[in-house]
Amino acid sequence: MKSFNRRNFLKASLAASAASVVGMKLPEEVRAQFMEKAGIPEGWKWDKAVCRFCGTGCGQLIATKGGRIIAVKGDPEAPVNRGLNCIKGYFSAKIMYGRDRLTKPLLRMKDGKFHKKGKFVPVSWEQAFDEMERQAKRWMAEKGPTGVSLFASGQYTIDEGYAAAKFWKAGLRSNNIDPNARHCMASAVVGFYQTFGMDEPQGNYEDIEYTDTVILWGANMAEMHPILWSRVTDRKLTGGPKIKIVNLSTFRNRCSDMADLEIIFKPNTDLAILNYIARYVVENNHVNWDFVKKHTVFATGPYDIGYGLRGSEPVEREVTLTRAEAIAQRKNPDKTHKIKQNNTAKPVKHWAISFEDYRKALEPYSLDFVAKLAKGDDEEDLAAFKAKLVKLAELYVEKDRSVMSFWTMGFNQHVRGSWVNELAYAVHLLLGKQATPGNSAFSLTGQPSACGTAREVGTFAHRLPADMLVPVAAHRKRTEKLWKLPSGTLNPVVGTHAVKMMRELEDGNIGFFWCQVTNPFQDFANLNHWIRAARELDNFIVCSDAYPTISAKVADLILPSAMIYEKWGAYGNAERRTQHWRQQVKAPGEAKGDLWQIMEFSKRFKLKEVWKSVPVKKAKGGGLPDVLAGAQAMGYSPEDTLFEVLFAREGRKYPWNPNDPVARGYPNDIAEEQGFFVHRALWDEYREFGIGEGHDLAEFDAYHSVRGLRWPVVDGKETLWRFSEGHDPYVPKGQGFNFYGPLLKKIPRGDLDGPIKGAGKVALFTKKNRHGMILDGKAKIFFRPFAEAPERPDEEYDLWLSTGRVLEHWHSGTMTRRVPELHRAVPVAQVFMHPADAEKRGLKRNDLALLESRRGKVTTRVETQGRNVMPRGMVFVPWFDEHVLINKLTLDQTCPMSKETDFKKCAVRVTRA
Amino acid sequence: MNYSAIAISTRPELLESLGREIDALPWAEVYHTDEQGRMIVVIEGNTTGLEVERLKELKAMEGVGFAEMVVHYFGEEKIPEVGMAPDEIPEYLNDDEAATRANHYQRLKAMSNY
Repeated sequence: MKSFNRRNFLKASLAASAASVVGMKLPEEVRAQFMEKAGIPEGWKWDKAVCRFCGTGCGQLIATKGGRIIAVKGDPEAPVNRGLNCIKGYFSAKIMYGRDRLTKPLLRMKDGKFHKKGKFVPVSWEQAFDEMERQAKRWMAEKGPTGVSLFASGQYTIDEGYAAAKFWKAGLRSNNIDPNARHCMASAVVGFYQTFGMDEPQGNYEDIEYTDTVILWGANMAEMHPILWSRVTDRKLTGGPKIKIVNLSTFRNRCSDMADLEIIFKPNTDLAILNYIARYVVENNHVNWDFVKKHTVFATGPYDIGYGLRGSEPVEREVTLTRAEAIAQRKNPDKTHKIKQNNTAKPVKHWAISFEDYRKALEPYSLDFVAKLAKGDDEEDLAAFKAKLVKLAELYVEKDRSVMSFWTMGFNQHVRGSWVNELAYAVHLLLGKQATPGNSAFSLTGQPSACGTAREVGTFAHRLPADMLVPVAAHRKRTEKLWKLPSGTLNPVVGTHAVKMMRELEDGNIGFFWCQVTNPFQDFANLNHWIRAARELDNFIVCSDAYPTISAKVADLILPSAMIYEKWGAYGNAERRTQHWRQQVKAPGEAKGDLWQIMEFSKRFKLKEVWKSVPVKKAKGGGLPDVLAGAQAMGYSPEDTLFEVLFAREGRKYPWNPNDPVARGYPNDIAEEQGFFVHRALWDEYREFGIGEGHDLAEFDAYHSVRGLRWPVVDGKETLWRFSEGHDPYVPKGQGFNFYGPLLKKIPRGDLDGPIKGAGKVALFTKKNRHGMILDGKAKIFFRPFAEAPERPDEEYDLWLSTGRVLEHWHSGTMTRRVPELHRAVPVAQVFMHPADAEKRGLKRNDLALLESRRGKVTTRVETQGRNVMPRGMVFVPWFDEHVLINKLTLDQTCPMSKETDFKKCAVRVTRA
Repeated sequence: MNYSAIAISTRPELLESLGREIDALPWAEVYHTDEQGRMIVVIEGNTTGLEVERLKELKAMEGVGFAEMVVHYFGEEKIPEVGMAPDEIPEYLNDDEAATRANHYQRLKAMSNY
């Protein structure tokens, strides 16, 4: 019998708590003693929270005592992770307790004044905002609203992203706000828009427990989404022999250990493999005609769309097709085809085609053609590879077999990322295996709120809240109404997407650049250019962060930020689940939340400074109208600050009450300071955008009594499968499916060569309800051809380079590298390569190697074993390590439709360092 | 002292012998077991790093099918002042690139609280 001193009591409590998490039955006396007393051990306060890291959205329980977080456990009530957590999750509170947390604003100064070449000096927030104000106003005076930019984040809380977008777009009238989610999910967004007319997945994580087949397309779930992977492996181990896992990747990763089928393919040939599967479906009569006729149309678009590089690059003007590309486009492969890139400006346009045309387009994608093109491992036998492709197609088409396709950055960071997303949906739609339990093509996200914040609240340069778009007049009008803005306030010209933001900085068109919750000077491809632009040119760079990152070092002003549990917030995960948490502890020193920073900065602008007539080059008449008269008619004064108009006026309807049932007992620094319950006020306002529009969210307080809800939440009920009768309240009875996404629902009629003049348009719905919601919407099945990446290995640079993450570190390592056990596990980004490739270059494991591309170079250690097994001809380097800035080598090529960078393909050479 | 509760699974017939083996470790204690072969073990260590090492040791033991941390308590771990002093400037920010590189790992080590 243990003596129950404090230490033993603590240990017994932890043990009891763990037992309940994993569902072990405890003896009644143990339960009574350790489980049923609140706040055990004494003084501990547990509250629900959400993990800070990836897009899975695991629920956690956080214990605080004496103003500090002292324990973390997986939340057994969280449906996402059911009590489990991955190694990063356990340390998600510890990341706040680094010795080098930034605690004061730091400004580059010389002789007591800001100086671009000065050294960092601590300043007050007042001084920091003074300089920011001076600089922002200077650049707005010179360039108009397009002279300033905000690089935002999929790690913003929902209210931070919402407030930032509102301040930038409505207040400063600049659409130059774009999130790091541009590098992460933008191709998925375009895929959703084009196919369904509305962003975000139809299915949810529960599909994993329903499905018979999990097919990974460029998603290393075992390392990047380990909790979801544990659900997949559970399904595999307990679901019987029918359950199959397929891992498609350009190199072998940890998912292959559990896979029934591993397919290693050459970069970009995922496009060809998907077309092979579509062809297999069509040629072997597996098309689900009931579904396809009733709920889909066939479509295609232009092929000559460039690669998102600067217009001065030759490949943006003309491309000579490779032999494979010629075959893939039904052209004579023995002739030279120089193709002018005529559609770089309008890559998203598309038109309806007939099934016969669709079938014709798929003809070239025979097993022979695709297998030879796609086989990624030289050492693999072609016949064996062919057999695998057939097996893959058979799994998709098998009657009564449910199928999930998962992807992450392999698809999304792709020069044809939007196409490859569309092709995955095409296969699922042809088979009618979409939006029902276990049948789902599902884009996993990398950031905790890429869905909830970056996408849903509209922090993209082209978006407004709830899937509305900047260039659509009706959307601006509705936004102006809900935001109580005078008509004409919103800028109709789409702002600069992330990659363009850096190019504009380099060209001197953007002079004020602010980044929050992100590390752009480590994250962007072709880094040397942007670091040089930031340090050498006349501009002002502000970096809000919790730690001194590379971007902080590059900046002119560093603002110390509060972190996750030091503020109230909400994230939206990849399955549309919105989860809220409360502030648990105070931020150190003078660190402040990003929402506070946005609001305080908005106090520096008066209406008369920003809502007057201002120049915007691409706007009608060369500028935005003066809306001050309209503002006055609405009761605003030209002397009012943006804070007053955008935030405080509505906010004061929500006075802060520390005894509010939701808030009692928890700090809320910003509410105390501003005097109103900022988060609830912003939530109620944001919520208006989605009600009745298929984006319905629940009321603020509701989220504090549950473990998240998946939108649309109608009559208090969440939606598990969108567009699907019986699951989604927006699908009328008897309809079966209703792909009601409203965007791009009328398209021209055409053939494989383009729209046919005079052939009219095809409408993808016939009925709407009185609120304008589509009642019988169709989805699109796209044909898109195989296309190569613009830079491929050649004699000079003879290896493919792919970049990515490792389990222990998250993104640029700002947080995870502060946790020594994570740091020690993987201290350095190595170059993973095939032993024969290493040997050929006189290298072996742990040798120091020099990696060079046409853009930059780094040195690092060689790894020929371990978690990633490379085929010959390809190397992999993770990008978390600021010491091995691999993005100096990568190319700033993007999917021309989504503007998302392809970090997975460029050409490098490796030599002894 | 840090404590972590670890969930371990093993084959039911190994439960007793594995439990004895784990209980014999000076830093581990078995609290609960069930007939499915699961057990809850609490481990201790002065630092989280040590705990992670010990977790790895458990994972490597013969018969252990699954071992993961479920609850992590670090409330008594000594943490020096969090965050920089008001007048402190991390050398890294004002350093030139070359100096940064040389000091990189010392820096990460120095700034870590654990």
